Amino acid sequence: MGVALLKVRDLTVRRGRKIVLSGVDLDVEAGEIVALVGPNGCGKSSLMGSVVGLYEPRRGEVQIQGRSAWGPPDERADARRAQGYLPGGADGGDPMGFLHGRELWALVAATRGAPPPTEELRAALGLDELAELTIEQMSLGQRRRACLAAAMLGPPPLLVLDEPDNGIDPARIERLVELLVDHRAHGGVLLASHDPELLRRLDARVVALG
Amino acid sequence: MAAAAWRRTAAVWTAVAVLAGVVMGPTGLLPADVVALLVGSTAAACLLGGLWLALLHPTARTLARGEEARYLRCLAAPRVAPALPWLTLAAMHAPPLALFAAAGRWRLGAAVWLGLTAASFALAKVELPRRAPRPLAWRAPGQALRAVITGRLLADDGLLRGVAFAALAGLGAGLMIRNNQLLGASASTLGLGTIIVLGTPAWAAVTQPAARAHHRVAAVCFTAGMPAGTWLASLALVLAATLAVLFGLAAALAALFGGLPAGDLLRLVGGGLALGAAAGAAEAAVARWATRSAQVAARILTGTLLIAAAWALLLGLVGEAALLAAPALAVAALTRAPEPTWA
Repeated sequence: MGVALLKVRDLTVRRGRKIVLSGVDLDVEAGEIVALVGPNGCGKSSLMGSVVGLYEPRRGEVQIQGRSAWGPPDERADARRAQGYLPGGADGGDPMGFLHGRELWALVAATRGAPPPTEELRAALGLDELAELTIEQMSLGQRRRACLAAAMLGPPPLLVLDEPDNGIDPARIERLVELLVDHRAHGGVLLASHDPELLRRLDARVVALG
Repeated sequence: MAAAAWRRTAAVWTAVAVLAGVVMGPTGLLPADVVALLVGSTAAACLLGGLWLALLHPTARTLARGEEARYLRCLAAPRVAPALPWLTLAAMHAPPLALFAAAGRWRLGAAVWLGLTAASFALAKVELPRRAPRPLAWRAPGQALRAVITGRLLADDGLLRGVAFAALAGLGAGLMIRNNQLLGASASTLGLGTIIVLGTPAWAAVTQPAARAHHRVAAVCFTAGMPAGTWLASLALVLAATLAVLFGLAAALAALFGGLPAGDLLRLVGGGLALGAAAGAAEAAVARWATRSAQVAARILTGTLLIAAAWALLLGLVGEAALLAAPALAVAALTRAPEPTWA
């Protein structure tokens, strides 16, 4: 058996003074879509934040393709370049609201050493209409599509998507499902969602938190 | 809308008042002397008038366009009187009127005041044509982040305020050099020390937008795998280049206004470029410290004042050797700058 795409062991995360995750184990194998489900505040976003490098674990280990996401700086950067992250919530992407869509994609592409959005990605997510808008000029759905495109540039082996369907119109959801199913050929997906129908269509392995 | 405009104006007024106090105190200049200079020299009047308009332009633009009051104007009973932006802007241009009044030239002062207000309002209404977007071909993470920060700096009003304040600092330094009839190393040391202190508002005005942009893209940079060193170095390089240019501009104006010969001009400008680059690198460390708090603006101003004081002290103690010590201090500060954290 090869190295797991994502391996989380005994993960404990604290946000402020509250322990939001304690002793969590999780694996994502190549070709797999894993869905985190659970009530609001159960730690789905915190787990994803720890995987992508936002929230330093209090205890435990996170490895992406065998490299520690919280290890020495070089290993840490390699691990993070192997994943693409879509932040969750209605305000995901807000802090960088001054960036134009094309600036966001170019910044992420240069950092990850990835090519610009492919024709397929541009068509699937309707990126051409977003390129000259700043993030703060975009509607919620447009913002989510722009950030999703940034996450999928490359594409990286592991996609970490926090509620990817949030705010996206039904027609685009169809394309999103196709993109994620196709991505299994490149790697795997860890996502959080409250929509059982979406998880069924993605044939996702469900992991309940909380 | 008016409250936000007043906050910005208060910062400009305070900075200009401090600058005027530092320049006029030691040199014995009186308001009447300044007014006589403005009346007697069209170039001086245009330069100082232009700098004043540039300093208040960002605020004037906010008032004239009234975008922040759009919601209020939509209400059934409009609460925004049409003349309010005009009156607010006129009040903000009152300091030149006070200067002329202190010199006993009330009528001329009133004419200048009205002229400045009208010019300010007209300039604020001008919409520059948008440039066609260029394709982005950023190959390395550092290059990409530097381009993002520089773009934000160019789009922000802070750079305009920075240039205007740097020019005023240069003129103040030139006046000090001229009044003390200095040349060579003495002129360079006094000029650079004066520029550093008087230019504090300029350095802070430029650091603000760059620091905020740098902090706001931190999460996307880090999650995409940008090394922490690249992330910090990008801000340091942008600020070092920008402040080097502003210090260089101020030094050139100081040398020209101070009547220095060509050799001393080059010496002062070279010193300004070196000291500006070191100040920019140190400002990157200040920016990191500032953006860990909600009080970003206050922390940046405090940090900038500390850098200015340290650089001025170094110049006073070791003269132009400070040009070597300052970069070493800046690098030391950068190596201790904290990484971002997310709650």
